[in-house]
Amino acid sequence: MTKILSEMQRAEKGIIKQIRGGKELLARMDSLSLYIGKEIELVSKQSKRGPVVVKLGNTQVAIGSGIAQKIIVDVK
Amino acid sequence: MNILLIGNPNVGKSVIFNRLTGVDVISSNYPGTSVDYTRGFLSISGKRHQLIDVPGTYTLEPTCKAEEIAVELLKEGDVVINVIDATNLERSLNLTLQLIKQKIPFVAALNLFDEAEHTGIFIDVEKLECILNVTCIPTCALTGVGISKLVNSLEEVKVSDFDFDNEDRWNTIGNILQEIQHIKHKHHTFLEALRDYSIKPVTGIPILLIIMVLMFLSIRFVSEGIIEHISNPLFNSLWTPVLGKLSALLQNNELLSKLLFGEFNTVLNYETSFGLLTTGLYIPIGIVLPYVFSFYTILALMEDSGYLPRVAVMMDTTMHKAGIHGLSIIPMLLGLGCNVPGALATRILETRKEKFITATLLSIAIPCMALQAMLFGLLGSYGYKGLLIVFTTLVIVWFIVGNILKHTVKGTSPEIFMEIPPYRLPYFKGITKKVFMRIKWFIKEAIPFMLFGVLLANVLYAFNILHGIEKVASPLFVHCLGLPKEAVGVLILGLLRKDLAVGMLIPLQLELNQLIVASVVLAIYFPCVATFSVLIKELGIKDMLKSVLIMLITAILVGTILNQVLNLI
Repeated sequence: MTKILSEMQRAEKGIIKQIRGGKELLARMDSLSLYIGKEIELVSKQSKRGPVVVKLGNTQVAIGSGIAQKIIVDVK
Repeated sequence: MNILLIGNPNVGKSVIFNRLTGVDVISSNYPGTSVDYTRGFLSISGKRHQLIDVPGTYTLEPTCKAEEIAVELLKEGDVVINVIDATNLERSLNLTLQLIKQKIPFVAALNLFDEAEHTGIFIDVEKLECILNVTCIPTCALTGVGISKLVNSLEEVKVSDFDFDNEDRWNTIGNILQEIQHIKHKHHTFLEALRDYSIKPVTGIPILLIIMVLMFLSIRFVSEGIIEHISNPLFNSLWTPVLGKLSALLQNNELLSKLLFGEFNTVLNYETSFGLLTTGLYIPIGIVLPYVFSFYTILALMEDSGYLPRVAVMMDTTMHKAGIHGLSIIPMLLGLGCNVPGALATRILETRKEKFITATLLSIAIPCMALQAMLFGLLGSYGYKGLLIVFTTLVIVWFIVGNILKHTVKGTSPEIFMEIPPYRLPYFKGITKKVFMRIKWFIKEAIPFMLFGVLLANVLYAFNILHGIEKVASPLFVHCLGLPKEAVGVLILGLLRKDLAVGMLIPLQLELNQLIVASVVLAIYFPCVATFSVLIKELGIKDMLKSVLIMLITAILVGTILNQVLNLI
């Protein structure tokens, strides 16, 4: 089942399927090793429009809600 | 030879730099501590080489300012030390492969090697060397393990001949990892559990509140303890006798003794006498320094443990109300110690809008420790009421001004998008070094301005220069703010040092309400000279003038309203 990252539930895991953004966003995501095919886990969500925190491998990354809406994840 | 230290943010480059050169660089446990770069020297078998600590970067295709600087610096380098985070090989190797693609000669330092093994990550270094065909050395910068080996390896640095398809980089990395990395599943450690609890809103926000309250209480407790048990006794038992002898010597020179000792007849009052050697030294060293010391010690613990980025995430929604994102909390927190490092830290922000709003809010509503210390002394004697009103007003002003700026300043504020480092136990030497450097900085900044301020105050009074200014400004002060016209002089001196200005309020014998209005206006109307000069550099003159205009208008408006409201109650 695919979901937008900002709609994932806590502790849900999934694989990044699509990034709906321009070159710049793709480059920034890529630099933090958020690429298509990468497995991530949602660690926490702040308020409704707050940032999400995802776990990838051994690190965690905070992603603002606007960016999180552009990331499509294949949820397990 | 120019040697560059290149690696992801927050992998210990600055600690390695300190190890290699002995030059002091501040390192912290959050990305972006070194937006600036530092140069130092190290010698290898008798020859001196320049070492450059490049700001952390995830990629050679820059996506932000720190990364642009990094790529620019790459052109200056002859060889590179690629600092790899052993706990995070995948992301680190991404940069390593980019170095290889650009045919840059390098050696790899696998830093945090011990931490990796602790978390159950085992790396076959020899195999990695075989695959990449460059020297790879496991290091632990904090303890110094592997550093001498790293230095020796610099004598012979080669370009890797590893070949791969750039489009397929992540797959290539995945394949390498399969061969060299072995991960043992371990049970959740305490730090990992803490990592989760401190970022979930349900548990994270209460934790944040508790930490903030503890921070505030311990700063007051420690500082007041130092003042009462160390600085006051020292001043009274050591400095007062010296002053007594000096004043006996200068008995005949009225002007000079007034300048040096101020007004004191029988009993010396360090806070109100206003001489260069009395108040001029007592306020910065006796009162403010203890506060600055305890503030920066506690802040350093928060920085090195890795808690600050979590604060940034949790504060993100709140900060958005002012048109800035969570990372702006870092300049704000630093500014609570001294506005100067706060102003310098606006550099970690990317757009003009963010910088402008953060700098303006910092100057308006973030009182530095020096100002706070004096306010605690001045208003604290009336109980908590005065302090509560002053700080609540500043918080409200922060939100209102921030919200107005959010909607009026042109430009964009990017969203938060940052790595959250793991918790690490702060190490003693790192903390003491950082606190020591910041205190050195404070003393260098504070004492000259303080002495100059006291001198200027005495000259202005001696030659009646203030009277003219007081006359012009008195309608505003008396009618709008409800303050006596003598307070004009206080605000003028506040441009130099705000703590000094609060000290000048004491002899005016104001009522509590007037003290509250004066304190708030003093906090808002203008940054001190030192902060001002840093902000001119960071924002440019034009934006700084706009910012100052906003500060002055805010100060008058807030002061007037507060005066009216307090008189009604």
